[in-house]
Amino acid sequence: MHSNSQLAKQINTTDSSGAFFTWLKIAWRLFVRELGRGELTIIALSIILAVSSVMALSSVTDRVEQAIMSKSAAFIAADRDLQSSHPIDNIVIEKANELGLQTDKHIYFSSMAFAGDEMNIAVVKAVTETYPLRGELFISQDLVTNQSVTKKGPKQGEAWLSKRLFYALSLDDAMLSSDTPPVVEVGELALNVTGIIESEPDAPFQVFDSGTRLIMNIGDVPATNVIQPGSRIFYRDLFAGEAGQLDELVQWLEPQLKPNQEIRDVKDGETAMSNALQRAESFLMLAGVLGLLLAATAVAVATRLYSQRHFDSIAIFKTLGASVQQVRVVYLFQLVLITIFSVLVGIIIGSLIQGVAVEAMAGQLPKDLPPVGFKPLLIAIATGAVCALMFSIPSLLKLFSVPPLRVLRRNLGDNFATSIMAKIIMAITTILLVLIYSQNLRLTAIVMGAGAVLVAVILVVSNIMIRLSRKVGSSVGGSAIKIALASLKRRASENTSQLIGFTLAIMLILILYSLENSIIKEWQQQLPEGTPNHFVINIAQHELEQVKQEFEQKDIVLEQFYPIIRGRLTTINDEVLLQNDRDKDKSGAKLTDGEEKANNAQTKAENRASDEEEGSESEGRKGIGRELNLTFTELFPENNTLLEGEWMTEGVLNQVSVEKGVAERMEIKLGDKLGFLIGAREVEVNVTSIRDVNWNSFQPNFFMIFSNDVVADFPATYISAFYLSKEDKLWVNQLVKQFPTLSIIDVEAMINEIQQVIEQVSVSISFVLLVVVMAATLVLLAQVQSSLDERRKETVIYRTLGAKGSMIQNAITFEFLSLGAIAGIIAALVAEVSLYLLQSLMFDMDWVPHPELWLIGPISGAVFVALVGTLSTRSLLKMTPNELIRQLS
Amino acid sequence: MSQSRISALVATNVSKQVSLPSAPSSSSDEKQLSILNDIELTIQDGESIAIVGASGSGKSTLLGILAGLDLPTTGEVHFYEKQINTLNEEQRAQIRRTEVGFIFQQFLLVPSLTALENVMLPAELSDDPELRNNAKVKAEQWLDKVGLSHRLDHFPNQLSGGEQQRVAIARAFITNPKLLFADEPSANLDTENGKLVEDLLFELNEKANTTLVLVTHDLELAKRCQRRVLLTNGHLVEKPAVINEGGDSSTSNNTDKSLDVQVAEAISNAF
Repeated sequence: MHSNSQLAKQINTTDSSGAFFTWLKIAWRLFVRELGRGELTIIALSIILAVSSVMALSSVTDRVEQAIMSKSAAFIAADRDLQSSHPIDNIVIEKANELGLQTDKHIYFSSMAFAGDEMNIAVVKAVTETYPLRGELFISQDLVTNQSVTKKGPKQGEAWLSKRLFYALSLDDAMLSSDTPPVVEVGELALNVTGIIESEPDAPFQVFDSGTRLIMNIGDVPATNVIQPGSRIFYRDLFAGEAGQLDELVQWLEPQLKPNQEIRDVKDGETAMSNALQRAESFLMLAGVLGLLLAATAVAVATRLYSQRHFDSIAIFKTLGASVQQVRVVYLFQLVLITIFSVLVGIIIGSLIQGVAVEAMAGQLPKDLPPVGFKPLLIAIATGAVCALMFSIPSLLKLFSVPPLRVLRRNLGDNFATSIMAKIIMAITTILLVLIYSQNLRLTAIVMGAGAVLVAVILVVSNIMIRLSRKVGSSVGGSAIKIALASLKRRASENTSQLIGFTLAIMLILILYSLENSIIKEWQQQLPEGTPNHFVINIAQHELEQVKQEFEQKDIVLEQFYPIIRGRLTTINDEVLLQNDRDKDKSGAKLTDGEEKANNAQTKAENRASDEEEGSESEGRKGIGRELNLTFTELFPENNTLLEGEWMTEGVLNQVSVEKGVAERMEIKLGDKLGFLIGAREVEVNVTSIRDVNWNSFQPNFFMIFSNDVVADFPATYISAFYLSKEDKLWVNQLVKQFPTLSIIDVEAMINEIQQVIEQVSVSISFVLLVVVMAATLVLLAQVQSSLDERRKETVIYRTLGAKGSMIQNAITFEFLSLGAIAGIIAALVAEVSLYLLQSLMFDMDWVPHPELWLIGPISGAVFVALVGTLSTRSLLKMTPNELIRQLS
Repeated sequence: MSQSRISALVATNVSKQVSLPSAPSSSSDEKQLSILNDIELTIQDGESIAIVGASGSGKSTLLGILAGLDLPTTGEVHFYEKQINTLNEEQRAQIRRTEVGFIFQQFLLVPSLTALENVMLPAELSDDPELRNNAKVKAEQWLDKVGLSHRLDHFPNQLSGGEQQRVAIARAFITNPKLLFADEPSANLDTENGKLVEDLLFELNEKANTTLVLVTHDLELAKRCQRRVLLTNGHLVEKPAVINEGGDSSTSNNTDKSLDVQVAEAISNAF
């Protein structure tokens, strides 16, 4: 008796290893033959695309990012630093040295500096001789020629002074380069003044700093005897080295951080530079993710086509008695071979692209690009492999399930519906890929959200489309349109997947294009040509007119003058605020931070931090915790935006305009009554407007602006900004000599650095956009290709029935035109939603509608898809029906 | 019929119904369409039989069921005493690769493999290590037998229809199958090439003493088989050995309408 189990046994007992190798041999043979005959072109191209674009994108962005990071590391004069208001244990430096990092140690404090009979408060920075680890320190030894040289930290016994301190102490600039340099005393120690600080890489960028800076060697600090218990001291350990070493140090350090200690890298501060960098980084990451999605789409489309074309072969294999296992081994191994081949080609092409790109952008990119690391290579290989295997699963499952009976019933298995399981597998793979690639939950969530919107919209639209075409089909004249509509209707389910491909490609281009535009535009607006590169501060009221005259004589345009008065917010609507003066417990930080840095967004971060700290300590509404720089003007500040209320209504007394962030934190609303203590006087004002302030602009910015009547009779000092050309730099020295109390802050170096970084990042962003556009084009091509087989059959029928070539051509063009336009409309819609999510959640930008997308999307979609579709189906129309039939069989 | 011979294939009470997918506008009930009804057929080992019928009479469906490519809705199919309609696809595949050969109207060669590789394929899929290891030599021998030793490295699209079908014949014979199924083997060929292919098929079949099940609507071709059955409206009408010169058990009945006439009528009715 022949039972089933006996048969099964018989199958299992066949010599499996020999058979297995024969199956691999068949797979290899199929691979070689199909490769040679161009049948694997599409699937190979899509994997090559995935690998090469991911490789090129991640290596270029990786290299640019590294280069920019090291460049911008100059802004903290190191790659990482540890800040503390208590002395930092030596084991930190020891550990860093052990890891092979370069190190530097700073102490900051204020002390009186004496020179002869003169004295002035000095903000002291004590450094080691390795300072700066990153960036350049310019020290001038000759104030007459103003020529400066780059230096490392001063030797023991030496001190370098800012110009302001130098003149404030009435030191003689002629002595500077002589054998007997001027001497300055800090505490009990006398130091030789051997240089003037021209620029420090990590100078705090603050308009209201006193500007009386002094750099000395850290080894001299004990001898000064100024550091006593209770002194306000701020400590910094600085590190530079390889990313891996730095990460290791940070990982080691983080768990043992004490309160008031913080590890930073250049991205952590909320400076203009770090904002630009973070935004660029987000953009590059997003572009990489979108490139990845496109590549995955291409693979999914291509494997689907591949499967469709292999239905017959599988049916033949099965008819000849191939078991499902044999079919799986043969085709999976073939897929593995295709993947290996395509990944290798992809890596070569990817390296070439990135080489060419770096070469082409050589002028704009940082000079010293680090070599390509292994990371992009690994990411590219993993992407190619994962895409090829995971995104081909639905198609392969379908392929494996083709019944052998197809040899007799030729259309069996044609219905290509993707199973829910396969869809879930693809969705999970996509999410994991995005998550792994970006390591960013928020971005992954945005991508998922946008994806869900996309699928929902496409389902609705394709449904409507099918219904409409059913109705319109019989009434519209012109047989080409009729055929096209009939085709759209007949291929409704296939069109849905085509639509997803088309839409995805168009949408991703639209998103990146808009983002690129708005990011670069915003950067350019931030620092237009002629941005003031100097600030003049501390102008006494009685000198104001004289200073203005000096500028007029030199023909230098000054920006708006702002008077500055210091005061403290004491009440809101008569409720007395708790004055938990953070100076008392965060005194160290105050020293480097100077006073209020109206121009620096870091203030915002600090305020937030101090609010959080205070929040847990006591009940009641808290004050800002320190004195504010207040101003009064009735001219609306240029880079502010009025959010609520009205700006300084004429004839109304006691008005105040409040910055949005402070208003939110202090829960100040329009119409609230605020009480300030200015000097010894109490002042009451009403909130008449709320402003948004661009903290990244190089302009004086204020939390509180009063109407002129409130504080006009208080003694104020004035601040303004101006643009100074290189040739006029020496004039500044004269000005400072003439008005010793005023201070000039040169921010040109910083602006230049930022502009350079922005330019470099802009170039790499444009390159990335180009790669993604290329990838999208290939996806569109693959998508059109995948419908060609079906079209071939139809063309045969129409041609055999005697239809004119031009009519069929028009029908195909019209079909693709409408598909492209529909895809373009959906793409614009979903792109708009995605842009809203991206700009508000990722890029911290204000979202504005993008009306141009609604034009660009449908038009470019229709034209592009129709062009690609028409061109690739043209060959069909040139063939005679006989040739077509031969090709089909 | 001689009782000493074993039955190669026995179909008992075989019926096949397919459900037509309902149109979206109509009611959700699926329509059942009867293709085959109560088919009783016994094919002896070494016999050649033609299943004749008009287009759409269910010939290919019957062939599919007999060859184990498809399952009957009811009834039993025994393949050398093994009941195959209760086996799963894997087990039926195993029977196909060891005991069955196929020749199709559309040749159905794997387009990306050469003539030689197409013929090697069944041998390489075989469970028999000896056959697997000698696949290439055997394939060359069989291609030589069908007169294509000069076309070994040609791909199907580089071969004429007749040549492709000869490759398919070589592929069908390489595993020495006990049963050969041929579905309209010459229908896609011109008369001359069709004749050549038919000659080759019968010649090789005779030499190998393979049981041949041939499906055709071509009466001339059917006549070359020892036995013919007519499939009409899903029913099998058997008139064994009416014109069978070599048949050893002909039971001619002159009063009955000859099968040929019935076939001719059935075919012309179908058009």
